[in-house]
Amino acid sequence: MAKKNDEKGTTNPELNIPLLNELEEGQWPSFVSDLKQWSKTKPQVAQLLNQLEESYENRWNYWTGTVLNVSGYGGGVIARLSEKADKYPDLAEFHTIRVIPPPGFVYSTERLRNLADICEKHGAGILQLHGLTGDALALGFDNEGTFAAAEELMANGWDLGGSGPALRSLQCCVGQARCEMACFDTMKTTRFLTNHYISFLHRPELMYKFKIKVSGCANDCANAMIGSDMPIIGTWRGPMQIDQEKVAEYIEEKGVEHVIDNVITRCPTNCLSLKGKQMVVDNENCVRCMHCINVMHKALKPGKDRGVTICLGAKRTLKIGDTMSSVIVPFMKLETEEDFQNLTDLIDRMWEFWNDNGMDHERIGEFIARVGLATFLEGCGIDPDPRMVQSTRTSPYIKFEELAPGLFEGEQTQQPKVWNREPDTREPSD
Amino acid sequence: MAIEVNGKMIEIDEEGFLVDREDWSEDVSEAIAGRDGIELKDEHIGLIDYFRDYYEEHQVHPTMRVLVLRLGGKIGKKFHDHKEYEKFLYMLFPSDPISELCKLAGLPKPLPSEHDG
Repeated sequence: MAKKNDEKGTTNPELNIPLLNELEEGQWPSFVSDLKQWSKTKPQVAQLLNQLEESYENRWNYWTGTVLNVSGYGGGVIARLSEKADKYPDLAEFHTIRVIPPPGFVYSTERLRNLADICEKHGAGILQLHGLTGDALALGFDNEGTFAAAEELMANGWDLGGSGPALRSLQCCVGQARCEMACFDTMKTTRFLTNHYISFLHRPELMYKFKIKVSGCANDCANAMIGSDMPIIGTWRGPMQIDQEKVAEYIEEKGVEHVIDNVITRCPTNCLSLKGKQMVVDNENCVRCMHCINVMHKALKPGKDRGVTICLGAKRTLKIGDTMSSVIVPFMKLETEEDFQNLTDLIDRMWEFWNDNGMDHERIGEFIARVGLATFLEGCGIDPDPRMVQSTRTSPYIKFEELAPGLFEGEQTQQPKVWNREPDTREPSD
Repeated sequence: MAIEVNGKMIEIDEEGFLVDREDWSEDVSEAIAGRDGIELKDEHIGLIDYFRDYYEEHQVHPTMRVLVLRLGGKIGKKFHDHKEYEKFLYMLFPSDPISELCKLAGLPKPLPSEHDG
């Protein structure tokens, strides 16, 4: 090991990267150009490019993982070793540090410069802002560099976290800070949850990773619905706001055909219609997809009674195939202290049930698929709701008749029994 | 690599895990702890014993989840409160409690998580 350390930083190899050079062609900015420029300063970057070239040639990945922890932290560092350490001595240890980003990914340039300086001082000086994981990733630290960089990052007010089987760094869209569509304060929610669950970010304990992403409306700029175990998405209840004067202006400007082709016929549930120069919305059938609001953003707005929908279970292929989230809480307000308390209570209950009964390396979506939604809801103490559907308006998990027998005669008095997964015969029972 | 305990040479690997698990004794674990800069006190030794018992029963080392639930379960009412016990574990073994305890209890090295990203 000592021998390798001596060799570090001494060799600045010639770049020999014909395959990578292909990636520089075309109109788009290329990471190859940037790293080539940077390799003049940092020898490990040149070695990194050469190793990547070799990977492309041999179609083989030369990185192996290990475990490295900053004192007192269980996560935050992704340790990577190169199998080609003899050839590329600076890549023998090439670890990544995960820095928790601010809500909405809004930095002042001064803070960003501070982050860049620290990463350049102790490592390869490559920043990845931001991966799908949502963290600010700093690449290319050796063992001592990792500890030194972590110390200095923490002294400057940054924090590490979110790797391994832990709660991952939260992501959100810009929300009410910059966007007129946002139905709730995404940045406040993200900041609150990060602070409340900071131990879970630092020290992994869960069965497997758990991601929370926060989007202000159904446009879902934070990719929450596909990219996180628990998306929190803004929505509203009741009628949407319509300014009929602006609708008339829009029709005069663009023509009726344009409105029919681009707004009316594009509504997924056909709940829009035109009456002269007025827009009529069938609010009961509106699924809050945001399309008409995006097109006619002056005339239409989300309704006044706003809140969030909480979903559960998106993941990439592991034990079962890729899934998207499905609804677990159809609507809740997220404004007062009490609302936030309810949210953390819900998360606590779900985590507890999942961790007590889940298997190792089992995401919460897979857990629900294995034990069934009914069992999961019972375990977490959540009331079943007809709106908890996987594909809206096509395949309900639950049968309405079985769920709500009492509702037809006024208030529901009896609790529904646990229903069969496979609905059996239609014969009436006594 | 080897360390000397009571005049006997004990084989360990680069990170300090025992090569032959039969070699384990309390003195050996103290020597390995000394190598990692940890002074063993009652709390440490109790946890090491717990790890050995658990491994004998289940043939697998306890996870952080199990530790926090079984040993820290009395703290607080909510799931969130259990986290205090984990903080305590990290105070005893700052680098990585599970891996460190496996090392000191003479258990096999825990596997790194496959999917980090």
